[in-house]
Amino acid sequence: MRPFTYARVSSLNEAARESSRPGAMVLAGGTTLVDLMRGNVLAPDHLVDIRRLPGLDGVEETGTWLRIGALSRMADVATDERVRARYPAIAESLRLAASQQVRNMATIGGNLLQRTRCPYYRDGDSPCNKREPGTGCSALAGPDRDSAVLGGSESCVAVYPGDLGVSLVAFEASVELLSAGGPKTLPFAELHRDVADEPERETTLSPGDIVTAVTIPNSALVRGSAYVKVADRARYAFAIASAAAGLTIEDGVVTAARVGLGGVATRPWRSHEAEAELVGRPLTADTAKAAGRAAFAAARAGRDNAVKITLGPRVVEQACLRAGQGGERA
Amino acid sequence: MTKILGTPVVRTDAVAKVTGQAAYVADHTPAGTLHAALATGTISRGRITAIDAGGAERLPGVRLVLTHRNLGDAVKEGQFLTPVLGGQFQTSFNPLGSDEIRYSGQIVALAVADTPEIAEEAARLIRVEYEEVPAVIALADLAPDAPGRIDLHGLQTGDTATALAESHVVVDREYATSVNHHNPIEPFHAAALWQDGRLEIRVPSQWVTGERFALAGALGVTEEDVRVVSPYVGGGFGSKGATLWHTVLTAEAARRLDAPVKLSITRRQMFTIASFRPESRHWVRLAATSDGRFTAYEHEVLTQTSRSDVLALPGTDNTARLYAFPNIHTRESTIGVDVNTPGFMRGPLEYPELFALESAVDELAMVLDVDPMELRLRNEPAKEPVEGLRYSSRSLQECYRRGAELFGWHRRRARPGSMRDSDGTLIGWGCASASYPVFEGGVCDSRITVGSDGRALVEVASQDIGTGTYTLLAQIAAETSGLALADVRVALGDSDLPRGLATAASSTTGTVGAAVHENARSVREQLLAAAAVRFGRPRAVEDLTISDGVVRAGDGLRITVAELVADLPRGVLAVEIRHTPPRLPAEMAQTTLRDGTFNITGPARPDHVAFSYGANFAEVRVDPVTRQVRMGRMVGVFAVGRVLNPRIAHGLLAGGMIWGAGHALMEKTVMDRDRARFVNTDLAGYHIAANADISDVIVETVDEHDDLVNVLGAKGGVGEMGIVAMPAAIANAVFHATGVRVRRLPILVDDLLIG
Amino acid sequence: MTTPDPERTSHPPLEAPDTFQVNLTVNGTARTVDVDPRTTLLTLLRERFDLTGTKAGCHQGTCGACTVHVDGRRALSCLILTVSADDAEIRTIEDLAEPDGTLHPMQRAFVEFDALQCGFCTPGQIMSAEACVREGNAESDDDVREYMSGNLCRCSAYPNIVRAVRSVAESR
Ligand SMILES: Cc1cc2nc3c(=O)[nH]c(=O)nc-3n(C[C@H](O)[C@H](O)[C@H](O)COP(=O)(O)OP(=O)(O)OC[C@H]3O[C@@H](n4cnc5c(N)ncnc54)[C@H](O)[C@@H]3O)c2cc1C
Ligand code: FES
Ligand code: FES
Repeated sequence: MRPFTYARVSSLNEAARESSRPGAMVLAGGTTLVDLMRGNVLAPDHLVDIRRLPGLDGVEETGTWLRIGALSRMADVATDERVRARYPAIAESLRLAASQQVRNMATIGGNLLQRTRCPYYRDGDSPCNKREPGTGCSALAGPDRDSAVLGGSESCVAVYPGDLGVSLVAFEASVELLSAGGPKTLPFAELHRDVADEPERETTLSPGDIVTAVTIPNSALVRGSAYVKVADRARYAFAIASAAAGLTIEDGVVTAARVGLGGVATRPWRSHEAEAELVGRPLTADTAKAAGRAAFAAARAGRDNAVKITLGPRVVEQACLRAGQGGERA
Repeated sequence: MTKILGTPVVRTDAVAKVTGQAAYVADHTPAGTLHAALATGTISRGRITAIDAGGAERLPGVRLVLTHRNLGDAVKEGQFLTPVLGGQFQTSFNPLGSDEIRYSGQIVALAVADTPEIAEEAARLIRVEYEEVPAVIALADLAPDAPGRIDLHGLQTGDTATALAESHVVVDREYATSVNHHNPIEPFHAAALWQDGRLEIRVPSQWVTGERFALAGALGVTEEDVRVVSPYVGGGFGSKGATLWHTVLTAEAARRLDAPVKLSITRRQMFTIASFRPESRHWVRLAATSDGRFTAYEHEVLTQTSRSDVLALPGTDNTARLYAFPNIHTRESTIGVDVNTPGFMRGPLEYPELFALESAVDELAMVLDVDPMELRLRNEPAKEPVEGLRYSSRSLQECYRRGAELFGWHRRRARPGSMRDSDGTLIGWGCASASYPVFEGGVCDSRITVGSDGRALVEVASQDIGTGTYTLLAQIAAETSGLALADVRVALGDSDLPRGLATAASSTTGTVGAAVHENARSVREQLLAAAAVRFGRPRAVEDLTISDGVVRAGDGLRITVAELVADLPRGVLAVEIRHTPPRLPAEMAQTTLRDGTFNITGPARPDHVAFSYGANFAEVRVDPVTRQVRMGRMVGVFAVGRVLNPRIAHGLLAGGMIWGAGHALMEKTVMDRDRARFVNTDLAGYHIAANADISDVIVETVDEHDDLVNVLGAKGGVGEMGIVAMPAAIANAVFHATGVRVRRLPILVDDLLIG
Repeated sequence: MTTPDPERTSHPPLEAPDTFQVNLTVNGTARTVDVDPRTTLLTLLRERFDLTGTKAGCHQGTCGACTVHVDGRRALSCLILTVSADDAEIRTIEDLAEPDGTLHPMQRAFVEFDALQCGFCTPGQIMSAEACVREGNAESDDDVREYMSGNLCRCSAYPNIVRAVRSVAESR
């Protein structure tokens, strides 16, 4: 690990000041950052430890939204009765992520900003445009079973690996920030950038921005939502494909739908195509299948990741069917 | 007499392990210890043109950077471990021996510093420039008969060509297994210390005796000047049997710095600085009559080896003797690619070949429309088919009967895809036969010292890698000598102890156990002789019994072992023996003793063959929509001769079966074929089974008496039997659930989504 | 071809001390240490405090061998920078048995059910299991399988680990 300086901050202002220094990075639970620092992938000059910042922790609920403080632990949010009862896809996407130990340490803010698990990014020495701009993309030429089939570009096909983000993008969450210019709110869908030709720039945050909370609007869509994840290992593994879905059904016809995709795209991915396929039709195995197909209509496979295109639609199908039953548990 | 062997005695080291007191090699940090880290290369073939360690050396706290430039001739050559030729090294290629790079992730430098953080940073700062040449890693990039293919082994019985031409049904298929890495949870650390010209090195080792010879040779010192200490090993599975080069480099760094040096190795480095299970391809032709009698078995195998060494894994010796095959033809070969040298990994010769054969048997059963278990039972041989020898014992049929009962096999519906749970989950049931040769090790010493407190210390330079050696040897020593189990302590994992053997090929119980048995018998005889004298009237030793540390005569006289030993000249009874396995060829015995070579013999012996057998049953549950496969029940019934400790044996067998599930459904080291390197080199990318992957695991052993196999009647194979056939059983179950036959392991969801 | 430039993201260093003073309570004892900010809690426990019961299996958060309790919750000591654990209360495997050697019920259960083989993952398993039961995540076999999945056991003693954890959960 490269040497760095360290500052623990106790107020948001201090945090904003410290984290806008050149080469600074914010440290929350450390489960992404410490790992990548040891692996020579990230090398901050200055670490700003925000874990003790007061007031950024905990879940708040009103009739119209759920607000999760950025320093809340994944484990606490996953087991929060309010989240489980009225935001089931949120709870499930947390429960099915990582392990209890990681969830005990990891924060919600850090979770949103976790880095890709692309093996070339992580190995610290392969050419990788995300890690070292201009060096090329090893996944485009090599085994790419873990690579994205949606959102990739000629410069990068690294998957956004998180689970929670899939639910957040589906259910139109927003992100609260403290920026140089003061507090700010951003639709979660605008937090991550498309890859384009700057894969090293993953988010729209400016240096020094601190995520303070995420809010999710309460709606019938999220209340009956479901999250489905398929991985190579039953637990403690990242998704090959996952999906969050929420539906409202009136008189046997889907009136509104939300579908998010995970494990298959370069960023948390909302599938308006799948949603459009469902709305106005009854929810049947066939319409759920059609939604899955629509979600992946634009997908492009590389050498080894066709599985994401064959599996992805089925995961969407299952998430929709479960959402149709009111978010029955896996 | 108290029964100790065959009872489920609690591991003698269990308390040390649950309290964190068991000291593994990295748990010992003498004062003044310096810390080391490795730098590994980034190309797969070529040479180093420049290496700049300046940045590292200038870092405050850095003491030494070893590279090929400054290693000089302080380190000599090391020989590759092969059972026939000798040697102890994982590869003959010293990574710092020259500027040559032969595989990706090769060690290019070792940095030593005051703290682990500085050492790691120093390793990172070493700048290397290379001249790269194209490299090849995968068998798929080589034609099956590419130049360089080395024929290793083959069997020929009868005439398969004619039999195939005349047979009613023939299955002719290609199968494949992937690269796998052992991934013990304990990494390959090493901690070295020189005192008065003598090296003491702690290294997690499955073979401290071999490691000592290897280090002495490579460091140019005598064997007496090397002590290898490895009291606890956090899993080996074959990866810690041969000497790894970083062990030598750590010792050399400690010698130069005249300070204790402890090397930590990253999980990523573990994938390239040691061995692995090579990729394998199989071409199988299996033929039968219309009533399901096998008529011919042909099996060609091709595996990876490195360009430095030839690794031979002749697995068809095992498969060819599994059924009554009237005609057999096998050919096994290997080819060098740009990897570090592969090696032995749990069931090394058995799992890949059995996966191929036992899949083919299942395919044949489908063609014949015969129950797959029934087809296996129908082909029970009277004698082993290769040389016509008898089996020392063989209870495969009993295993199947009992396993089928435990599993409920008779409820299986034959047609693939015909069994479903109430929620629509597809259910598949498969079975496969496990077969594992009984191997015997080489010459083994053992010493038992009984003190005047009546307590005994058993000493042998063997190892407990989780396999229960501490406990099993205590049981053998106690029961055979007549002492109470609680009065027997066992010391292992130290090359200064009487010379032991490698923990390999599941041979420890049979061979080291036989040595301790012989040793304990001699202790018992001496105790009885002493008692006879002590009881005064000359008395036939046959009238005396000894158990629980007390000698008793028929007429009621008694004396404790403590009293007897207290009366001996120096108040101790120390007996050391050298056990030479009865069938070990004399010249092999000599080379073991002289050169510290690795010897293993079996399973064919002059007048019989010896194998352990087992019947495996697996249930898989497949999601009808996503096609995700989850393990249901696994049942394994095994015949391994006498079971000395069912508690430990059943745990090992279950662990092996879970390895089987991992190999069948997730374990795979991905190869980047263009860049000739491994890709998923961490435990998040290389998936080993987690707790949630495994459901019920049911293990039983059948009663089996085998007087031929060894003095204990223990055929062994317990450490490896579990894995060898379970992958085939699972692949067969996946076919039964889905109708999709996958002939390459692991079976991923990718394979089940076609169509 | 050349290895990547290790200095690629470097900026001039800020003025800051090389080491930091950290206060911790470890197994009930207050301790103050000066640490390199790079030192993980795992390295501190093992190399500085000689509490080697906690094992290092990957230093990447991927195995669970380094599991300890931080402020009563199970966590991975390999991904915690010691500086950031200032004032935390740490409990390791060494603190589980009574001072007189009486084993903790979870340790007894691991012995009784032979929930170990090589024993290397065992301290992490036990610390994890103790917390798992307290969390209420050991109410069924499937619960245990799920919530103990962050502790890999390469020897694959899983079935016996499940039995051990369940037996403790049931006796509560
Ligand atoms: C073995 C393993 C398995 C995992 N499996 C999964 C999985 O299956 N699914 C899944 O979704 N995730 C998984 N994860 C990822 C894990 O969820 C993330 O590492 C974690 O959520 C990150 O949170 P943290 O608080 O530890 O972040 P940190 O590591 O502290 O920070 C992560 C990043 O976010 C930045 N950051 C953190 N907080 C803020 C803030 N408030 N404002 C601005 N920037 C901030 C940091 O600067 C850093 O760049 C796994 C992780 C590991 C180690
Ligand atoms: S050492 Fe911490 S998770 Fe492996
Ligand atoms: S007991 Fe060996 S890793 Fe778990």
